[in-house]
Amino acid sequence: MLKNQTHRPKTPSPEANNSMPAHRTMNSPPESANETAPMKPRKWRKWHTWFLILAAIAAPLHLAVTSQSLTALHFDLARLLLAVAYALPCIGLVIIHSSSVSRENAAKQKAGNEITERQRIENSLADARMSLGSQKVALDGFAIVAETDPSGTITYVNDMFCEVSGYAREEMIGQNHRMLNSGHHPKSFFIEMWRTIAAGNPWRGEIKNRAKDGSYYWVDTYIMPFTNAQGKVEQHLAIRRVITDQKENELAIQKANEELEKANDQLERFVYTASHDIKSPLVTIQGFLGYLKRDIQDGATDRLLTFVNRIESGVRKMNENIQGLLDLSRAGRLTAEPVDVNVETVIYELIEDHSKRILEKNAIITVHDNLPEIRADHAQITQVFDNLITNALKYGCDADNPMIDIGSTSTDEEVRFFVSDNGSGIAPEYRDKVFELFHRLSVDGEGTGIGLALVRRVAELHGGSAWVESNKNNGSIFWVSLPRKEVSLVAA
Amino acid sequence: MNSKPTHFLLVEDDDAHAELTMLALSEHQSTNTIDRVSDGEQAVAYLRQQDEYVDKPRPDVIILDLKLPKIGGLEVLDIIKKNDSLKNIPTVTLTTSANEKDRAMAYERNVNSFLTKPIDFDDFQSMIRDLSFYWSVWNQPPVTAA
Repeated sequence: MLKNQTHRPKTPSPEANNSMPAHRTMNSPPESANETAPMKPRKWRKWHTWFLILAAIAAPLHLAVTSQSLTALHFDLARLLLAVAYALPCIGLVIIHSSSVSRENAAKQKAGNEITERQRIENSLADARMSLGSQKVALDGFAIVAETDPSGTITYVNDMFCEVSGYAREEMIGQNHRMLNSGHHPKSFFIEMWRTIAAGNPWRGEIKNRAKDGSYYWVDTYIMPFTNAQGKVEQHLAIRRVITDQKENELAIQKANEELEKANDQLERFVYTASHDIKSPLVTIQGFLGYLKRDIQDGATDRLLTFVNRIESGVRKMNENIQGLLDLSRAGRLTAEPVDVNVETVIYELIEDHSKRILEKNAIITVHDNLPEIRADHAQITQVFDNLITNALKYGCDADNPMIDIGSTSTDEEVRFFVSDNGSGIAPEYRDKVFELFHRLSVDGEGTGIGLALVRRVAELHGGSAWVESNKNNGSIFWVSLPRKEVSLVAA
Repeated sequence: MNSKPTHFLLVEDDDAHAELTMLALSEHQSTNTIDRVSDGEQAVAYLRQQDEYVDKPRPDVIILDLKLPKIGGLEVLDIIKKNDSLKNIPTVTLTTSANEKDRAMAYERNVNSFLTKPIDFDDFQSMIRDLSFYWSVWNQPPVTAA
């Protein structure tokens, strides 16, 4: 509706009057009412002249009659003339008076008509003004209103603008709207807006602004450009409705949806891979059972033990996979209340558990004595170090003199634990892949591809992270960073 | 009909599965030759005849598992089908459990056949027998692939 309207309607605001465009749609009331007034004295002067002439004739005649120097005939004649001379001005006066009265009446009636018309216009103007005034009051109570010149300099702001933005009126007048820029929108967003209003078209959009105190608010914005008779934009009127709550809800829903989608994807992949890993040993067991059965039927015995061993390892693998999935599902959320964990004790207990394998590998394990206490889920942190030590023993002990170092470095914000080995290390392109769920780098048939995924998951659950770096003398350093014990756990 | 023995390359990380497949292949087509590699990186090196695989022959058929360490099966397939000297080698994926997405992605990468390992022993045997017979006896490869 407003699209075709290019002229600025008159507003009752005093500020707006200063910036009224030159072009108006409404005419001033007619000014011709006074034009008949000067005619009246001119006519009066004309009749007055005649009266003076008659008086000039009557006066000598009066003198002549009163001097009694005339004959009787002359006397009668003079008296008649005198009577006429007196009578005529009297008649004249009567005529003048009556005509002037009728003229006055006509003028009065005309003026009366003009006053009625003027009154009507004034009344309708007053009505319009009143209606505009109420609309302004309503608008001011509902929305932010601002006016700017064609270059975008603010020329008017209403109270709500000051209230929402936190800036005083005088802080905003003369400034550009850029003072409220939140940095949220790309440049192209405002370029498109300016292109629209510079072409004389209204623009509508949702803008995130920054208030004086640094907080953000969202506004549903409508900007109307007003042009002069030449079609040039003279000013913009912007009306904004605060929609921060609505927008925040919208963004929260959007974020929740994205997270759900991500979780769904993960779940789908998890179910697929889990089912693959559970099915895989079944193929092995069934396959070798088939050969076992056939050989027994054929009376062949030389391969029987091999087949039984394959079946056994298939069952073991199945058990490992199921255990890994159970561990992972437990790591999905924190079930226990975080407690003070003495990491040194945890490590020494784990070394004790792994002593058989350490002896087998002939590995030297060094535990640095600066291991700090942390606040965490005890079972999960134990699982993390168990997985890291198991991995180091499994994959990091291929050197002649296997060495495993366990220690930590600390900053004010976090504690970084490391488990390093001097094995063959991990190529850079696989250093992130090893933390992916079910991704295995080795083909020795051991491992489920769950261990390191679990390490990362537990670290993240505790507000930290996990990664691997290359050790100086080959090998790998696995790092787990955890926030200092004051930091609370993040929700799953 | 193909008279010369067919050379298979089996890409399989699971030792037990590899053993089962090789047992089945050798039982049904004794003239065939089989090499096995156990991850995607080795498969690519084998096909490019790099390092320890420098003297290895070009395979006539590739049997490819999808879930592989280091370089995944789909990535290996991509490398094969984008390489002018390798793309004509018939490549069959043989996986434990395949979802629709994997199937679609494999066919997008011009896989020649997509098979799922049956749990049943007899099904597994007959599938490997058919696979071997089809590619080594019935299939007529282009001259360049021979």
